[in-house]
Amino acid sequence: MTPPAKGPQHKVAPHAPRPAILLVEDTLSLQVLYRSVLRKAGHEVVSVSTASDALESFAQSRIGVVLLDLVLPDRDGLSLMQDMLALRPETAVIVMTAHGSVNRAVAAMRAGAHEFLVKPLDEARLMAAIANVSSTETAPRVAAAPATSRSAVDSMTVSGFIGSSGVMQRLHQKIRSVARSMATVFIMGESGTGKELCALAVHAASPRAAGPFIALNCGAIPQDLLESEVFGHMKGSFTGAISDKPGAAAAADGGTLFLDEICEMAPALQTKLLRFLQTSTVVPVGATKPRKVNVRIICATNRDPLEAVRRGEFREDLYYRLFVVPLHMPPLRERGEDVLEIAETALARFAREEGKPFTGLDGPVKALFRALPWPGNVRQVLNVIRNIVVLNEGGLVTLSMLPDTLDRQTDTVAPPRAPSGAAAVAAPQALALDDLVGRALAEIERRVIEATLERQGGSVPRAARVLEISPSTLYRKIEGWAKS
Amino acid sequence: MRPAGGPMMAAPDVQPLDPLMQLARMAGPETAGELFRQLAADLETTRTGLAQAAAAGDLVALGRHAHVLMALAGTAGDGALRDLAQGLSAGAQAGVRAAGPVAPAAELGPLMAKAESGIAGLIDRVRDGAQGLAP
Repeated sequence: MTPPAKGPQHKVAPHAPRPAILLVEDTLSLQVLYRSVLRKAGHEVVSVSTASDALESFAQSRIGVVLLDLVLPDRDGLSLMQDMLALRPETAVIVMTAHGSVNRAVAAMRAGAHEFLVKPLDEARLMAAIANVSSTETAPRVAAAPATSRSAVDSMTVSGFIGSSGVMQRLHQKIRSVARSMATVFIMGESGTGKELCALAVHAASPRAAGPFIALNCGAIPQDLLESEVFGHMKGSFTGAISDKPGAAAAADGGTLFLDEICEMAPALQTKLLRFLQTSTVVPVGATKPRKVNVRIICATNRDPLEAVRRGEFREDLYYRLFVVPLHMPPLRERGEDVLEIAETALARFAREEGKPFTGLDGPVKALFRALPWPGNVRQVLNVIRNIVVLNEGGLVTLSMLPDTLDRQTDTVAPPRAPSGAAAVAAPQALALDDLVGRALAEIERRVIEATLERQGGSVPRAARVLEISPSTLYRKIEGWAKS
Repeated sequence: MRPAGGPMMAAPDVQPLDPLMQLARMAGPETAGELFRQLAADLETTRTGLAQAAAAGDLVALGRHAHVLMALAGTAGDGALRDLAQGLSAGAQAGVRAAGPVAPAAELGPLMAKAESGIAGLIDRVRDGAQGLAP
């Protein structure tokens, strides 16, 4: 271990034109090297060897970026970083760690670091990291913080990222925390849970909110076109390339690049994405010179990314580079009353769009919505509500307005209410054909349905399955009997 | 060893740069000498620290010195020594998990011997390089 030098060794000029970089590295030769590289690039550098000197310099100097070794002689670098961020949350911290200690760097990113670098440091990579964090650090983040938090809330409401359940409140809190960092966000969740809205919320609450938000679905674009879509191409670089195209990474410069279905990306492109993340430069197809871009990455998948790594479908180094702050979008069935908030908000919005006077959901519909498992999650609810608004004239939404597609979801759905029609009739006995002959067809149907419901323990979906009709059809019949 | 642009860099683009030459170029001509002298000193300190930790069976200290060696060797472009250091670091961590922070480091003996030899060789190369940089 290199003996720590005493006191800050290089002070920043008293009226430096821009905030200095605080270099915290206890191995003196590495400190000499990194300081020299940074100064050659025109940065003011304050370099120290211990955590206590680092905290002293941080408190006294105008520090914008901290380049922090995680292993220090007098204190753990992670806790030092947390103290610094508690003092000045707008500070950009880049952590450094030795090869083989990436897990600690990832932990630091989760605790608020903007970037991590693995030693030995490559000069280009170091300068790219400094450039990246400097561009966000120079934004007026302190002043903007309350406004961005508010805009995040507004964004969630306006964009349909709705839900006041405990699980969603915790998610909103996590989004607000991670938004101010440059850390890569990895969103996981079932299809239809709102992963892109989550990415938008992170972007809207970040210092990059004024920049572009570019979304790209890696699973929806043919693999041979994906490289061009992400990194762009030059005119004539391949058949059909009739003009220069910047690509999503360049289009997102200064903002956020959202890569959905990231696990579907082909291995060759994964390598290029990793290179892009390491250097912050893009080389369009057919180009010879790289172009520097400043992009925050958010990615998403509905698969288990670690399983994709185990199966050899996803690069492990890329996984660790991307899987910094994971966010899990809960399925709708675990969000309690959120389904009603979403349905009623969507109803009001779609009714306004279609010019129809819908007033809300009636009790049985609410009960059914609470009970359904919604395998298609929020997207399915929105489709159901859209269907109702388009095919009906307005008023209170009743069971009879529900689409036939809302059927056969599970066996576990309890009936939304006691079938009042059935309750008014004596419990059906075992039906004999002789008992039915001579009765009206509608009454025979009702008796058979009631007997089937009885046999299925009152479960409408199970009874519907036996009868080979949709649950909504069954609900409509039961409601009709209740009215009559 | 010369910094970038020195008289021995007649055809720098033809042959791949020696790792220490790359390091000198990265530091710049004004700092390369200081860097090499400090690098040699840090390697000496690490060598001593590793030997003392191994003798005392202090696996925590051994792991800490191995961690520094990983960064130093990697920075100097000595991949073999960096891998040895990584093996020492992993071995020390495994030893701590298995037997506690103070334990015989016998199993790490062969790695220690190789690391000792590797550090000595790297120190020689760095000192040679520093002499080559002297005005």
